[in-house]
Parts: sequence; C-alpha cells; structure tokens
Amino acid sequence: MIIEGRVWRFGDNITTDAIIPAHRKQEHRDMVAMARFLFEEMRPGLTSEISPGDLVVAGVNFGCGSSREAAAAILKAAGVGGILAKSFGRIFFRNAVNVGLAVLALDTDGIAEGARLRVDFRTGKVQVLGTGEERWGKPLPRFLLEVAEAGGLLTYLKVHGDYRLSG
Amino acid sequence: MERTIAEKVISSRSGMPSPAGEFVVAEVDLAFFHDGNRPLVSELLEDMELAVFRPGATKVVLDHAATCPNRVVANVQAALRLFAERWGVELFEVGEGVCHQVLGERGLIRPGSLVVGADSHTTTLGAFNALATGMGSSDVAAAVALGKTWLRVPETLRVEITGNLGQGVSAKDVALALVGKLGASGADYMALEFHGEGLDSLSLEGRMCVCNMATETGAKFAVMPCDGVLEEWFASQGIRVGQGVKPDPGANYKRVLSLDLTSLEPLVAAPGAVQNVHPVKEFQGIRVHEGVVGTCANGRLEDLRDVADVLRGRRLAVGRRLFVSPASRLVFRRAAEEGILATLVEAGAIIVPPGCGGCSGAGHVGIPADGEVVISAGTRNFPGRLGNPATEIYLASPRTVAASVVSGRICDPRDLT
Repeated sequence: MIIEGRVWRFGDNITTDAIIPAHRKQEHRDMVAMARFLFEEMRPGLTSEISPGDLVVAGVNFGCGSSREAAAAILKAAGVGGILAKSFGRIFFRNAVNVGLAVLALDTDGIAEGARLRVDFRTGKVQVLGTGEERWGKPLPRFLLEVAEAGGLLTYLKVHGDYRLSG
Repeated sequence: MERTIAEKVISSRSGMPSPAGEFVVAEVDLAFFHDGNRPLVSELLEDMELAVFRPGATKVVLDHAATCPNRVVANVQAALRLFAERWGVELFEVGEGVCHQVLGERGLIRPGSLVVGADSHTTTLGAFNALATGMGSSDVAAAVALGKTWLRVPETLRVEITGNLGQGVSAKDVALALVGKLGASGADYMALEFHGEGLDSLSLEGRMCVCNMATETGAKFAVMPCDGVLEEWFASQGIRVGQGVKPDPGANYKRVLSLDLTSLEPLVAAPGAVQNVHPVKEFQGIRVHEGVVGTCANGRLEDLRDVADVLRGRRLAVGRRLFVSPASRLVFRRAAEEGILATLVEAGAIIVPPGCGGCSGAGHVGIPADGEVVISAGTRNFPGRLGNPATEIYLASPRTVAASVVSGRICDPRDLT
C-alpha cells in the first residue's frame, strides 16, 4: 500500500470532536455527503482542498476522544489516503484500519504542511519528496494491513470469514 | 506465568497464553451499541448481510437522543427497534437511561467478563471487575456477528489509592485527578487496575465515575477489584458472583501510580481538554451561565443527592440554568422517592429525561449561547462539545456544579455560604 500526496499538518491531541462533531455524526450516514464537515471548526473548507491520496500528518494522540467511526470514515471520504502521527487514540486507530485507511506511527516532527510524501505503509518507509529525506515508521502488523487493504474490517470478514491473525 | 487482570481475562477468552503485547482473538461476553453513532452497528450488519451470532449477548440502548430531536433520529431509532425485534436482541427504550448505567445497574456486567461497546465510555463498566472497552461501529458489528474480537493484550498501569475523601471532595475529583496526572495519552492502550485501601472511600457509583473518565487517558480498560463493595452490591441484587478476578502477586506492571485521596481538593478540567485539570480555586469567581449534571460520568443517585444537598433551601443565581439528567429511569424514580427532584425543581433546576442529553450537542439539551460558560459534571469539554463552539465548558463534580450555579460563579463547594 503505497500512497503519494500532499501533507495536511495537525498538532497534538486532535480529538474526534474536532474531526467531526457529535451532532453531525448522529444523523448522517452518507460519508461522502458529510465530507464537507471535516474539521469544520478547526480548518473549514479543508475537504475542497484535499486531492485524493493526500496525507494527514499529526503529533501525538491523533483521533483521541469518542469512538465514532465516522471520524475515520469522513477522512477517507474526503480523499485522505493515509494518516501519519506520533501516536493514535486507540479507538481511532482501529477505526481507521476498519474503514480501509492506512495509518503509520512515527516521529513526525519536521514534516511540514505542504510537503509531498511517498509512504509505503507495508514497510513503514516515508520519503519526503524533493529532499531525499527518508524516515521509518513502525508498520502495522500484517493482519491489520490486510484489513486496511481489503477496504475495511467487514469486507475483510466477508472474504475470509474470520479474523486471520497469522495470515 | 504471573498475570495481571487483563492478561487473565483475555487468556481465558482467547484460549491461549496472552501476555501483554500479544495479538489474540478473544470471545466477547457482551456487545452493545446505541443510537448515537452512524453508521449504526445494525446498518453495517444489514449492509454486509451478517447475522447476529448470539442475540442473548447483544444489547441495544436508545440513549443518545432520549427526546428525539428530529425525523432523521426518529427513523434511526425506529430502525433499531426493527433490528432488535428481528434478531431477538434486548433493546432498552428511550427514557431507560444511558447505556453504561442501564447495563450496569441491571446486573448484566459480571466480574471477569469481556465486554465491548460502541461507545468510548464503555470503560465505565470496569467498575464491575470486568474488562470493558469502547470500539467503533465496524468492530462492534464484527463482535456481534462473530462473538469475538481481536485485541492486542495491554500492559497494565497499577493505580494505588490511599486515604479518604475530604469534605466536599467527590469521586469526580478523583477521576479528574487521575486524568490530570496521566494526561490524554498517559495510559494509551493500557489497562488500569485500581487497588488500595482508599477504594473503601469509593462506592460502586463513585468507581463507575472513575472508570468512566479513565478513557480520557487513552486507557483500553479500567478495572476495579471484586471486593466487599462490589460483592455486597451483587448480593443486594440477588446475584451470585464468584471471587472475581485478582492479579497474581508477581504480575508485571508497566508503571505504578499513587493517588492519595486525602490530599485531593475539588477540581475542574478547564475548557478545551479533559487533561487541563486544576483546583477549582484557580477559577473561582468566573461567571457561569449554565450547569449540567448527568451523563455516564455523573448522573447517578449519589450525584443527585450531592446536588440536592447544595440546592436545598437555595435557588439558582439569577440568569443561571441547571439541567439535571438522571442516568437511568431507576435513578430518576429513586430520586423522586427521596424528594431530591422536588428539591432540585424548587431551586430552579430543569429535569431532563434519562439519557445522554447534556453531554454533547447531539443530545439537544442545554446548547449554550455564544460567549457563555458552562460548568458540567459530564465527560468532555472539547470545543463545540455542547453544539456551540463559541462557548467554554468546565468539567467538575456535581457538588461543584451545584455550588457554581447557586453562586453564579465557579465556586469551590466548600466555600459556599
């Protein structure tokens, strides 16, 4: 799973409330229609600027707070190809994989807004394009990569019938 | 192998040695979801044509929109009723209360069980000596369809509690102190185990509050012991439970944290993040417009008693409002029987149906006006949490909330005259 795109940079402790507020996620089912509400307080209009395959890059504890899967789904619907962060809120981490969004944990200090990256989520290799800089993150375990690549947990389970931890 | 509570429960559910760090598949004893998160677990199951594996181990609770604000939500709730009927799944109707409260008070959460809920505050149920954690809709749908989930066995952070709660200090202050000490990711992916003689100061209700707020530290599980307090509660419900789960004496803890109750004072989480914990005194005097008591953090009988204690013979300060939502129908009834509701109404409080109203803007309770300050006994104070980003939310104990709406300003409850 290799993604190349522009960096949209965020800080620490970005909550799922910031990604999509509670009153939005209760009512809406169609994530594509909801995509315009992504970060509506923090970075209004972001969705219209995202090109498919762009990357969200953040500090610690990205996606902390509520368990709403809509937070991950709406990022995907808005065209985000993957998320890099120093660490993830645990429920968000699962939700991202479960909706088919690749995630990678690594030191993101110095990766700036607007940079272009090439990320291999299988190996954890991150290249900052145009600089020759390379960083390495800890890739997802094989089982979770398979879930993300299958397009999400339930799709994976329809294909395999069960969780296959040892591949 | 000497094991922590989490390692013991998970290994019994996975059927294999489950030391911290391992990825395992574990059988789930109970899975539940509510009307607050779309896509609904039921919508996902229907889309993917998956069956409910064990209807008896699946629960649905209509709590996030007890008063049902609009047609869309009404149709969501109707769809959930159809789903429950189709599969023979128990559904708790609007007005029954918040999922964690209802499932806990009905004795459905047993010591040593593994429970998953489509709600981040599922950790509340760890007060029953269970491993209970929140997950998203797809994960819970998978657990409902398969009867199991995958887990990375967590490391455990042991919290040693000593001392006694002083006058005016509540379980919510203990919870806030914990989040303040650990920060928003201090217990990331970990299990919290609570031990120590200080636990005698915490009733089951108080423990639910602490376990509830534990999710704000990034914790996967927050487990209280199966001790005299819990055993007595089960006995009072006519439920026989065994020894519960204790850790082995040689179990491996990633970290041990001490929490001394005697040294605690009333606390607030200042606006923006739950980890912004400070003594109430630091914000004393700031004008408040609205108070909220309720939610899975603090809508229990003891919480309402605390509010009544402060409000008795007093009235809210002019121009202030207080919304009170009992966490369940049972709490509501008992509060009525004890005369608490009359005291609250007399003082000017607004009683709201049992449910999640007042926690988030989705509950359509107490949406504040631009520039207003809310002091809430709820769970979160993130910007825009109550449906209006141009406001500030302080989190505090029910007692502190009550003192603040009576004085009209943020007020240490010990200072109220």
